[in-house]
Amino acid sequence: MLDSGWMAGPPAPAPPTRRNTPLILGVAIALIVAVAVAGALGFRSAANPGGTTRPRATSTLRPGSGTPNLGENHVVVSGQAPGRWDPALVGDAGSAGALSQVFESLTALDAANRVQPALAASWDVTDAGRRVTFQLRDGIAFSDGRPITGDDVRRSWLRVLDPQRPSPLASLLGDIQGANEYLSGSGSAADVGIDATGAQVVVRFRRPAAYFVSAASSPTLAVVPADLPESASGPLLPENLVVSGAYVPESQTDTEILLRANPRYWAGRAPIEQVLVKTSLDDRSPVDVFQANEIDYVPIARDDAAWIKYQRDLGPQLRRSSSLSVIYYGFTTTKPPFDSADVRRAFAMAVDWDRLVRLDDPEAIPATSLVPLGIEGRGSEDFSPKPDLEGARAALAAAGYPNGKGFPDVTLVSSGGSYEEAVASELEQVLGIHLSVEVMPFADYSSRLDSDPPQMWTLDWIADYPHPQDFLGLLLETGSRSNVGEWSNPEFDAAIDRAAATDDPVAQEAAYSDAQRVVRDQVPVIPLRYGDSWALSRDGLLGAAETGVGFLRYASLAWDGR
Amino acid sequence: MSRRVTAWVAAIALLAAMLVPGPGTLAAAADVTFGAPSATATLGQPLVVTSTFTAPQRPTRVELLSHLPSERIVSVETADVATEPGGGFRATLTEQGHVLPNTTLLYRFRVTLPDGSSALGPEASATVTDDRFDWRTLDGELVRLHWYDGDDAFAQRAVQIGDEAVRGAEELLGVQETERIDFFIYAAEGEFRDALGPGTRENVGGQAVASIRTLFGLIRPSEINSDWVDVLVTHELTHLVFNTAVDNPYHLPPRWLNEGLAVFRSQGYTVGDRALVSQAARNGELIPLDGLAGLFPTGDGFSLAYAESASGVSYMIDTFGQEALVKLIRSYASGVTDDEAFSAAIGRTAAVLNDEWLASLGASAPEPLGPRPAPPGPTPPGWADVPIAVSAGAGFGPPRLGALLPLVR
Repeated sequence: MLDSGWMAGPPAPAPPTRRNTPLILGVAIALIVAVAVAGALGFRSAANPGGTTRPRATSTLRPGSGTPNLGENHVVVSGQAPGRWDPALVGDAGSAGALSQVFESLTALDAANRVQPALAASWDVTDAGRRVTFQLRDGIAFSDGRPITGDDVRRSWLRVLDPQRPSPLASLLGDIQGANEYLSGSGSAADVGIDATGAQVVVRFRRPAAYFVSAASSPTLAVVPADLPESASGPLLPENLVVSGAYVPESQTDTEILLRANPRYWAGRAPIEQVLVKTSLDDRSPVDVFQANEIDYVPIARDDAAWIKYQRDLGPQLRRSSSLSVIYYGFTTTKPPFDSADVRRAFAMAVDWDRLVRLDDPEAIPATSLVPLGIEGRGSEDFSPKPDLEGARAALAAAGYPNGKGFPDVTLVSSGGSYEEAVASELEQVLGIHLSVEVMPFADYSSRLDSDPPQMWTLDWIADYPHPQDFLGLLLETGSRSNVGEWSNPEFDAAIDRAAATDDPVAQEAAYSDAQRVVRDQVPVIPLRYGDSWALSRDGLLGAAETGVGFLRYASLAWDGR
Repeated sequence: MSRRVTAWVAAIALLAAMLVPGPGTLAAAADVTFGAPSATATLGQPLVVTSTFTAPQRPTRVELLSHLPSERIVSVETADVATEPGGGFRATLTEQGHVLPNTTLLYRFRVTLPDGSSALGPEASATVTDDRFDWRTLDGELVRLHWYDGDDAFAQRAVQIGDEAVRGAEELLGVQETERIDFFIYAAEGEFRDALGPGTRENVGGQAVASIRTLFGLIRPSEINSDWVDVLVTHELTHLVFNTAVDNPYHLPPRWLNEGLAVFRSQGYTVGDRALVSQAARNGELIPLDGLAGLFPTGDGFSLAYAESASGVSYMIDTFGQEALVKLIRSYASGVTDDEAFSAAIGRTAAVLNDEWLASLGASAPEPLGPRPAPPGPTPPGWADVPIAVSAGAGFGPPRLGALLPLVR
């Protein structure tokens, strides 16, 4: 199960970089077409790849019938249609970006990745971090006028833990007392440490979890109405959807979604009255669409940015964002041969990972840790594996496979990354092994990671809140639903516990560093690179800056001077 | 003639991996039996791949594994499974997306049972056909021409040009092509674009797809006896040989080098291109070579990008000699960075070469006009003044105020 953090899903209509764009198209050959088409750019790069993702026809959606009637105060942006309209049920960044516009959480991230109050007016962290009390704003309401109460928050969060239909990001609530028991079916909802009284929500934790104020900004933890229709579990917009966020979705076709400002939004009606989200560009180049004035904000490929930066008209409208994301390789550590730390070390030392990244993109930032730059408390030490070819061969021999002899065929599976072919080539040359590479569509890949993780895999993980816990704790702690490789190490777990148990930033950073040293030694994962993205944004459009979690906040958009 | 040639030598990363059962293959999978798989693969229609199979239990998943013969990455997609009336199952995968003509796909089904064991079906192949025309075929030494409009003399000429272009590129780049190259010539723009599929830029007149060793070209009846045939064939085949010369899994050469060589070999650095480049230099509109490393501009910048590419290659040959250019191109096959390649071949980095090339044109290196930070937008009441940071070490007690999380730019 992919918990927390956002897997970068198939991107919205945007172009792929040459070798670094999430690529995965249906059948292998579909890629051939991809080269001639616009690329794909992902919120995450789980394989940010070299072809173009071709949006599959959603046959039950009515075809677009031309641009809907738009008033003067509107903006047209490129975005992804949510895979489901229920925020508890999505686990990819694209869906989260869409739903974050219509469902609000207790806190929110601003453009500088600072946690800000949203539905909650304030909060207190007490009991040495084991209790957080949120106070909701006065008079907040859903789009139909019904008040938003603490009960709505509790019910929305319990839906995330519903053992019958758990959220792919259920681990966001994993530190709440009784949450894991309820999730696993061994406990009850009544025993989950979320109490609501009027406009107050008290959350009790099994261990210190001051980070939770930040985690509460995740779209997964957004507040939904009690009567959210069952149809919201699908990709089609339910009729008259009642929302808690800045925008009410009015219509959806197979190429666009129309949003209208919610007059009952807690912060007041958003400056832009209508947002038309283009979910498909019909295989046209995003740059062409932008130049034709058909769209005001659109992600583009890095390879397009290279020439655009020198172009008189487009250059000043070019934007670059750094996301709090990391691409990493992982091993399923419960099955041979990657249950051997020596084998994992051999793989880590056999490749010059930094060089691989820089060959693909000289401006890319190779990862030095599983925790992206920009997250306070990540430390500055380099925890990345370094190439040591002799060491790699020695480690493989120590695992019982001298010169690769007897090493089983293993498979690396991804949803279409830029590096897989190079990684396989390096490993084969250095270690004398054979590595198959399989690429799957993102949805199938996500499901596969949940149900039957491959021997070796790769993910692009975007933070859903800016904290080391969202990477180290959620991705590697024993029992976490996001721990795809099912790695377990007591020393690592103890370090994570120490980090959670202290309110001293220096001690916390030290504990996280201890944890990362264990990761460096035991190699359950190999961090590869941090993420960034490019976009074109129309002159005069204010607030069009992606947050570190990869979203535009439509409520912060406005036209200069209008 | 306006620039119409482009090529997409970029190979697609689909590999032909080993499809042997992995260590998880257990006894139960041995009881799976497959019928002969089949596929319908016609341009403009969904690609449908199907196979019957029997299994002791209903599988947990059935996947289609497919790859191009020349590639190692295997694409895996979940197939639909239906129960057959007479027992057993039928797996079907329908791909709605566009697939280029002449694409050959190797495919097989994989059945995974509840115990985790898996079985692989027999491998088969299918080639996408464009059955809209009565194609005629003419084989040359290496090039096989497919055409439906024009006489035998046209075909003979095209094949001859193709074979000579391949030989010339082979000699220049020091590689040898051994596999047949298919060249499909369309006589009308609509037919050509339908073959290439949606998203093809309107100024594309040819396309080389190295991964399927196929070229697609648009040659209208009125152009059959024109120089366009020579230009198109030579340009696209140069791309294909270039791809062979630089093939590596790590890093592709800058696109201007690839396109520049193709233009230079098919047309030279023409008067028209020189004029375009000179005018852009005067107007301060030149795009530096590093801006042409990836995708090319659309619209007005499209032709200029090709002209600059030809100019860059011409400059290199004039300044350092053809041998250095070839050394540069060939070095990419070993997976080097641009700076490593340029430094080894001509003793200076790509950036220095760029500056010298610009200087030769009387231009200076343009300053980038972007990216620029997004101008800030409105924020909800209280946000701008009271940022509340909760970060590592935010600790317990009341949230701390004022700490910012720096973004990496």
